[in-house]
Amino acid sequence: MAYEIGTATGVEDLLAKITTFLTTNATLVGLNQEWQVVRSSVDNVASIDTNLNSNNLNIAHTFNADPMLSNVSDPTSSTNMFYASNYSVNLSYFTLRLRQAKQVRKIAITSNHGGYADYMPTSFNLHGSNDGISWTLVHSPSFTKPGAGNKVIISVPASTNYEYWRVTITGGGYSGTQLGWYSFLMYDVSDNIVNSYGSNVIFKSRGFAANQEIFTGIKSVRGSTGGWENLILNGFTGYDPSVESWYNQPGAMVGYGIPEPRACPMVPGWPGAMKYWFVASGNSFRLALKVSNTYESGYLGFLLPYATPGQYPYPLVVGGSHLSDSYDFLYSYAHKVRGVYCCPGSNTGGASSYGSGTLNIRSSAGDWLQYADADNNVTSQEDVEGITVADSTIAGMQRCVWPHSIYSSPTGKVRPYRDCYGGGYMFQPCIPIQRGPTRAVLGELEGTYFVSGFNVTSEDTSTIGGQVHVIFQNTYRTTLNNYWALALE
Amino acid sequence: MAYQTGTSSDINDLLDKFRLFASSLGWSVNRWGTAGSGRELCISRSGAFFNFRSYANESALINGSADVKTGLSLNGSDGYDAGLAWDRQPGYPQRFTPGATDQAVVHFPLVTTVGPFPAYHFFSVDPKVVYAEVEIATGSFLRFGCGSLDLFNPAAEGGGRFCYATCGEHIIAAVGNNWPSLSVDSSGQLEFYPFRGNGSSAASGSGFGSMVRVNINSINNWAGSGGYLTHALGLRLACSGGDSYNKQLSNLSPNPLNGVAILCPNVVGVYSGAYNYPVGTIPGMRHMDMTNYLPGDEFNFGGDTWKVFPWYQKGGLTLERGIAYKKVA
Repeated sequence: MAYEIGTATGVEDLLAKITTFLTTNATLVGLNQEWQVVRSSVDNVASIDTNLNSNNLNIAHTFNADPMLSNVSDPTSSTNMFYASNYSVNLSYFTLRLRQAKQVRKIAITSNHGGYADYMPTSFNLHGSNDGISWTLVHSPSFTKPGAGNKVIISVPASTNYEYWRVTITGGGYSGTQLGWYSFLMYDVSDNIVNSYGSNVIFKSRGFAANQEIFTGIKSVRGSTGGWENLILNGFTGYDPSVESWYNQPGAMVGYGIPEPRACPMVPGWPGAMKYWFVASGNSFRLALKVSNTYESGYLGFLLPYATPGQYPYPLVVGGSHLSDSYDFLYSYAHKVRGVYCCPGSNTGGASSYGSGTLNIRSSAGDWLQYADADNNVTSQEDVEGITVADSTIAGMQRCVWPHSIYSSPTGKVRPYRDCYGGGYMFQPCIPIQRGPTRAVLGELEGTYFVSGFNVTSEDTSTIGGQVHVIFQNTYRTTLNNYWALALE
Repeated sequence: MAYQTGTSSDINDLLDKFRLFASSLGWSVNRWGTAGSGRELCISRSGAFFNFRSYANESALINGSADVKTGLSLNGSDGYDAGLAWDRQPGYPQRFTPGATDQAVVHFPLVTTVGPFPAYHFFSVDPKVVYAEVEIATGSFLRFGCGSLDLFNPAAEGGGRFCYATCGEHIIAAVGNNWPSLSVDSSGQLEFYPFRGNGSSAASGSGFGSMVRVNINSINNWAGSGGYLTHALGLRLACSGGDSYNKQLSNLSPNPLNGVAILCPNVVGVYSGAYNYPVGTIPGMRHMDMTNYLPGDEFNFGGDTWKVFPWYQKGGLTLERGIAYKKVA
């Protein structure tokens, strides 16, 4: 077990610090519980300049193997696509300034889907520069439109490492002014993407005894405007190096086009300073993050199941505090989808099994199931919706996390706990439960506790059995039943 | 000896055997003798005092109401005075309205049988607690016990002294709100499991089946299990526990992956206004789903042996809800 407390500036710095912590922390290494990076794609776009307008999806996101902001977004819908309506042949361009100068040896352009496939370019000039002023023509390819959803691959002759790359569109498009694509990726000689807007990492951890293979991932996304910089979390059952998409790795949370898709949870951030708390074992990674005046969360790895590995072989948990298919990606978004992983939020209502939550657990049958808690089914912003089960003995949300799941308005026998009689606080384990379709009490979220919010403020600490527990509020919520804690193990 | 089992002929014999078991654990017997149709017993250990009275078809005063009954009443106190009545010992639990009969007790009712009892099981995971699990008739179980909680804060005033039985009022079989005519979750149902507090949410307000010693809100006395903060017939403080806060865990068991039930701790807390002070947990006692167990079954968990019984009847009134004791041989 290991922990680290520090400050990161922006999510790229945060992701780099997470990766360093998980892979090199001396305590984890000493316990043979350090994590491994099986793939890493590092953000390399410092800035983008273009005279193309971006309808719907911003052009910046097309410089990524997964342009869609959510795994459940429909790539065939124009509302999720990038396209420009002010295209002008020989004048329209975009310029990328890279964080690290790179040589481009290959370009892959994937066409938009459906009727927007005709928006593809058919030729461009590729210039390189190291000062953004003096440009060298590197290549001027011409090609045919590959058809909806298909890609054209262009070999680029050897040049040198350039900090700036400019693409000027010299042909193609639709109806004279329409231009668009699904993704526009540049590669180096080793086939690594050099113009990745955002990073992604796939980890392999090995459990407490280095006898497991647990695959999880973190992807950074940021808005070209709006001030949000977020981490998207995912879990897998393996790693396939031939699959470029981070969203489509084996066993990933199910996305668009698959029955009952689940949007990946997010950890919202911002470009400024963020205090973080990392706690990890070979079994799981836990994150608390202060963003402005909210406290966010993340969990990647296995549950501590009430079952043997033979009975529940891959109890994978992916938890955040925001949803990646939300209307608003900002940390300040006050909505039912917001909720730390032990007090999870959801976009689900009614009896439908479709929906997404900020806590997701892979079932023993291999299904991704979402969790959501509610306060007494009262409909207000502070409450969280979810699938309900009608049963006289266990009525309530279909899947939620005890003990946050029990609190109703402060009447009757279940009044909110306050501090302990005589002083101190009671820290209760967080236990995912399921009312339907079968009843189950699955296990415990490692190192995570529910605590009363009575007379506490975020970042208060309490020592239990010699172990420091740090208390946090649930995102923006500060009511009595919305506090949780990480044990600094 | 921390576990003992046997049979008993009636409530007086049962109390006698309980006395001997407590004594073997180091409890002092301050009073033991015949009183009316029954026995009076006062025991103490390390500043914890508990007092018992058995009745056999005799008028029993239970929380201000007298009726002819067979059963056992008990309460706690802060000391022992040979000159005082068994249920009005120093620091006795005092009901809301002061008076000559303001003493509070919890009650172990014998409504459907008066004995002999097929089996009793006495448990003590720690000498500070003494529990009696009684098979009053084949397949039907009730219980009483006393001791001190494992406190969240060891310095908590009162030391977490507690006692429990089944109810806090006279019980008539199959009448009105009384057992066994309602479902186990009905608000007027009996406590069955310590600190569950269902009885106290009934109209009488005196139906508490458990109590714990505290000093809160300028009330330096005992709190009774239930939903009411105050009630004219009840104690002046209310407390919680049983499965009130964690019934989701037990009711959603057994785990479909392996049939395992969750052993849920009994967290006792005391209400103050809109809030609840956690006080401590009952040592060596859990509640669990016993779908996959028969009454008296034992199982091992983490090197410990646990023995499970139905709250009342397995598959009957109390469904598959079980009470498990950590058995220390």
